[in-house]
Amino acid sequence: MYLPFIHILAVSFSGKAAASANLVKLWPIDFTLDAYVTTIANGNFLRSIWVTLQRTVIGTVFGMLVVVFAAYPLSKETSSFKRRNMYIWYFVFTMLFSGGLVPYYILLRNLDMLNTLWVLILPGAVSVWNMILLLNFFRGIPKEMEEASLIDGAGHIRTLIRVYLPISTPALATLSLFTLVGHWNSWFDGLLFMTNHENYPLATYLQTVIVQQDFSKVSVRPEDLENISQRTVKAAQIFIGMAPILLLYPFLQRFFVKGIVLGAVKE
Amino acid sequence: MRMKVSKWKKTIILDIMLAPALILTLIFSYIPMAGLVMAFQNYKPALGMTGSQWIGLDHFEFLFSIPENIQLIWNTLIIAGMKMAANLIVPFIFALLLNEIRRIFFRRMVQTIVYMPHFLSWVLVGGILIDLLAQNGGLVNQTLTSVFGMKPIFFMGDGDWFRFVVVVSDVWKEFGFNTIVFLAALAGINPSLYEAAEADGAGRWQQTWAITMPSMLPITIVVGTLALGSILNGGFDQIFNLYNALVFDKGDIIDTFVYRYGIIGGKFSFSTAVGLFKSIVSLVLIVMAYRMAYKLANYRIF
Amino acid sequence: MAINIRSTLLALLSSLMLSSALTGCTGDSEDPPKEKDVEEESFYSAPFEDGKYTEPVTISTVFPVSSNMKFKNGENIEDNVHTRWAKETLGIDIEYLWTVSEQNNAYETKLRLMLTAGEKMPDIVAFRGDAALISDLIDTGQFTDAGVLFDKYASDIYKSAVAEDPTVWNPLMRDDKRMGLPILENAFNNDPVMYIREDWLRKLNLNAPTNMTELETVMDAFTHQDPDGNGENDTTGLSVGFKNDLNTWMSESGWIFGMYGAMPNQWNKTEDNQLVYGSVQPEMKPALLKMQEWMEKGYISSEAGLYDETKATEAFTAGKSGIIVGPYWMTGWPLPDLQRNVPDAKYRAYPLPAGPDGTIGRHGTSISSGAILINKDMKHKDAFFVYQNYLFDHWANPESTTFPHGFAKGYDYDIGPSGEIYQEAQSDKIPGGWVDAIRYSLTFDGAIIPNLAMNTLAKLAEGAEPANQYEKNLAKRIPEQLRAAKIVIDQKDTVMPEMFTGAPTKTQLARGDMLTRLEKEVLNKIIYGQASIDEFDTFVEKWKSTGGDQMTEEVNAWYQSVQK
Repeated sequence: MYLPFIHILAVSFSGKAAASANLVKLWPIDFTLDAYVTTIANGNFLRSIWVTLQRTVIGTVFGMLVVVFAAYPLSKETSSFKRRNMYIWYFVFTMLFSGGLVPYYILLRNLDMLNTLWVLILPGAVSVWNMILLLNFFRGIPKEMEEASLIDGAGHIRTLIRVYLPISTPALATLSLFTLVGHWNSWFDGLLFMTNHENYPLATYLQTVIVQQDFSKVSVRPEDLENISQRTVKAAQIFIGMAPILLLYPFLQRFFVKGIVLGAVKE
Repeated sequence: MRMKVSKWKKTIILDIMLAPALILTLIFSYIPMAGLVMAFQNYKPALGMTGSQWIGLDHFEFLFSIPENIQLIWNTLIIAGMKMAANLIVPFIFALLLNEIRRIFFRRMVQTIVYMPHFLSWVLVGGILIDLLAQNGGLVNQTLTSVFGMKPIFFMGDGDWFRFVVVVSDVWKEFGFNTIVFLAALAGINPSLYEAAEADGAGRWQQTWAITMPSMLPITIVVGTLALGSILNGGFDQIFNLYNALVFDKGDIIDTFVYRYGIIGGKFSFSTAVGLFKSIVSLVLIVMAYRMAYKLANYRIF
Repeated sequence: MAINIRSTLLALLSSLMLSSALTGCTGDSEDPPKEKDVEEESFYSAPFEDGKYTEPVTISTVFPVSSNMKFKNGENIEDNVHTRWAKETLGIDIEYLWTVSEQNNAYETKLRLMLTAGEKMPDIVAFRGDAALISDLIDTGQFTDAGVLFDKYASDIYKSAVAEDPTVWNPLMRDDKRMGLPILENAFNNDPVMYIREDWLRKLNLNAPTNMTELETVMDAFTHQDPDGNGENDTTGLSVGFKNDLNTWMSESGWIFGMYGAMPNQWNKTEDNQLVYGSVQPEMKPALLKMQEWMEKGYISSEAGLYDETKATEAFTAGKSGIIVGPYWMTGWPLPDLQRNVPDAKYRAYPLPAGPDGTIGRHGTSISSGAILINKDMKHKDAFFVYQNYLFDHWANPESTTFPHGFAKGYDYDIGPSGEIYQEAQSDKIPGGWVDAIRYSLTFDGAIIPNLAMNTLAKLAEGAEPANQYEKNLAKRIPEQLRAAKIVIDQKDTVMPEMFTGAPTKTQLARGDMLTRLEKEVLNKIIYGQASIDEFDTFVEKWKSTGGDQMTEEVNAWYQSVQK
């Protein structure tokens, strides 16, 4: 079942000719690191990693903050927070309807956000999907704990931080992972909203390394063709793009088990 | 009167907590929605949204006037529906199985491995699938012919098989990632419940049936309902990389059509109209699911 | 609340659109007198001496950075050897409003967004691709009649290059005005030749096929007589891939139809000067039957309908297929992979074989792929011509000695200690590697005289001595490439050119995709034997009645309009 993966890995370490003739199966032919070198040595690689790191870290923290603070009030029963129903549909609606690319672009341009880091962070910060999942997790928290905290004189914010968050680590870890992976992988916004290709995040940059020319339209010159058909590069990119997340993942997994705290707090 | 004020005071903090999300949504979601007017226009870039001609429901009529397009909508519904079901069931069961693995190291390893394909692109997967499923010399057909003595199947060139390939490859690529939500739900189950059950002498299977499954039901309903939001998205990237003229009749979906149709001339208003149609269908389905969950299970999905 | 937002945004939008519309209008009324003033003063719009503006003038533009464009020495598209050259040699500052990586049609999408958002256009927009976008851009009214400027400012070499094929103006015509300048490409660049495994032919005692019967004999032998000698029945006669189109840019099958006088997927000219759509002509039928037969016999892969142009080359470069058809440049890529994978393999380029009644037909190469649009409000419109003339007169012109080895020393060539010239093949000897600096130019390839390159290659293939530096450079190409180029030129009378080069017509926009989908589905199913050949007639009927006839009418109306 994971043979395709091994195949792609093998391709990434193979010589160009063998790879583009599809001769590589599960073991590299003409072993070489060229594909990795090409990708990494290509101009803006380091810079794009920096952009991605910024957007991922700031974007995930910011996004999670917004979502956590929104999910808490929305997890309340209608009886204790009447307006929640109105709010939740306000959010759900945006999950389904969008005005499309053009007005979005006009908006970002008028806000002067093009070519800034913010264009990668703010527009996608409110993930309604995450919000709904989190509010459902919050609902699973026993009511008594919340009431006890509120009666103790703690405000809502304090209750959220002291009571809700510690016992929601599995949910928070999950949603953070989703947000993080989303930021890490998304390339389309970088391509369209960064007006300077030197500000591309990693995922966008990786998209630009492979030559994808429409040969029917341009004057192909044989001397330019050396760089074409970089199947090996395409394969290497998968691993370059994936490696950091894979390294991070086992670490995040620790939090999935930590939910046991729930029992401990109860006493 | 006084009661009311104090209650308002008590909950105003909740509104304040919501404020950042409300404002961001207003700016980045609601304001651009003005662009939906394009769906009712014959939008010409040079004339802009205010200057373009209003054509009412023409785009929608056009969408439905062509028999092939009805087929497209069906294809999309079938493919997306099968994917939705499979992407709910497989990760659910897998999470349960994974939960039974006691060795933490092994469990984490499995979890990491199954989640890797999420990072592959459909361009690459598509190329591999074509080779894997080739009629002559493809690994799958070789196995079918030599081990099971079957005739080779033209997976990529036969409409029904093509749908099957689309669903299976999508599940293969995403189930590890989709499992994560269920694992989080599993981790949130109060261990004292299991302790109590064990004290009552319940076996593992009974525990799973009586505690684990019901505890996971809400999150399953939520994930399922939210998936309805994409019931008219068959998965553009995937189909676009896999399909070919032989399976147009059963494999072509709304999004691939809109892409091809729009690529000559960038027809913004038609794609907006199609998008609006998809949104409305999703909204109707989600409202129905919401109502049903509330009526039948007395559960508010959101 | 929602209404409020909507109306605010609408107000915002309308003010935007309005302002751009207004500037458009004022430009309209003010432009002509201004130009006259300038003319009275001098030929150029700014002080000009010795081929150079004394005070640098600015050209603003936008640019797609393609992925095979490399930079060195910490340069980027905004600041590099080309921009410095333009400033020092011509006194022109090039200013980039934005640049985008040319991936997933991003340049086109951004131009469209710019257009749709009513943004002010840069002085120059150069674009290769979708004719509909060029036509939308022209329709904004922000661009000027480039033809008038061309007549006034273009140099003789530039003019004669464009004059090689007057039809390049066709897509740019608006009410007898030439609203843009064509971007010229190399003629015959994508015209196909046939590549055959020479070692297989010898091994099986066969000659290169010149007609249908011989071709089938060769394919049959390649398929069934184990030409690679590995004892397995794992070779195919011919590599084609028609996932995208039958008539396409590589691994193509258009020539098979050409043998019967058909050419699918393009508009062909009939004897009575009418345009007809190739895929619905009766000549298609025998060719489709042939392909059906070949697939059944295993001459072509049973996966050919799933393969795109590149995927289809795999079998050939892996040494598992005997014939492939494509442009002369396949000798640069991907064919060299064959020898790397199968060291004793040898391929050779051959002319396309003739059909049963001696017909040969192949698709052609459009010598213009895009346009340069000039903004009405551009301050120094002559500056673009100063730039482009220089490149035509010195870069494209074979007689010029300004750029003997390449565009810039240390980039696309270098000179060694004892005067030897390093070019791409000696990339490792150039500090920082070979970088193709002419790719930075405003019109993507510097300047191209359409009919020059291929004809020169063909001449050199015949053994002519290179007469000048330009020819000496071309003579360094590998022999197989020269040979392929010569075959392309030898068979140039067999070209069936795409005659429709205008913006998509009304019916094409509305029904085009439906008709293409129908066409591909039916043709593929016939080739695969999933549908009988009789369905071709049903398809033609349906094609005609659901928009095809209307499309034909519109296309012919366009053709008549450009004939004048």
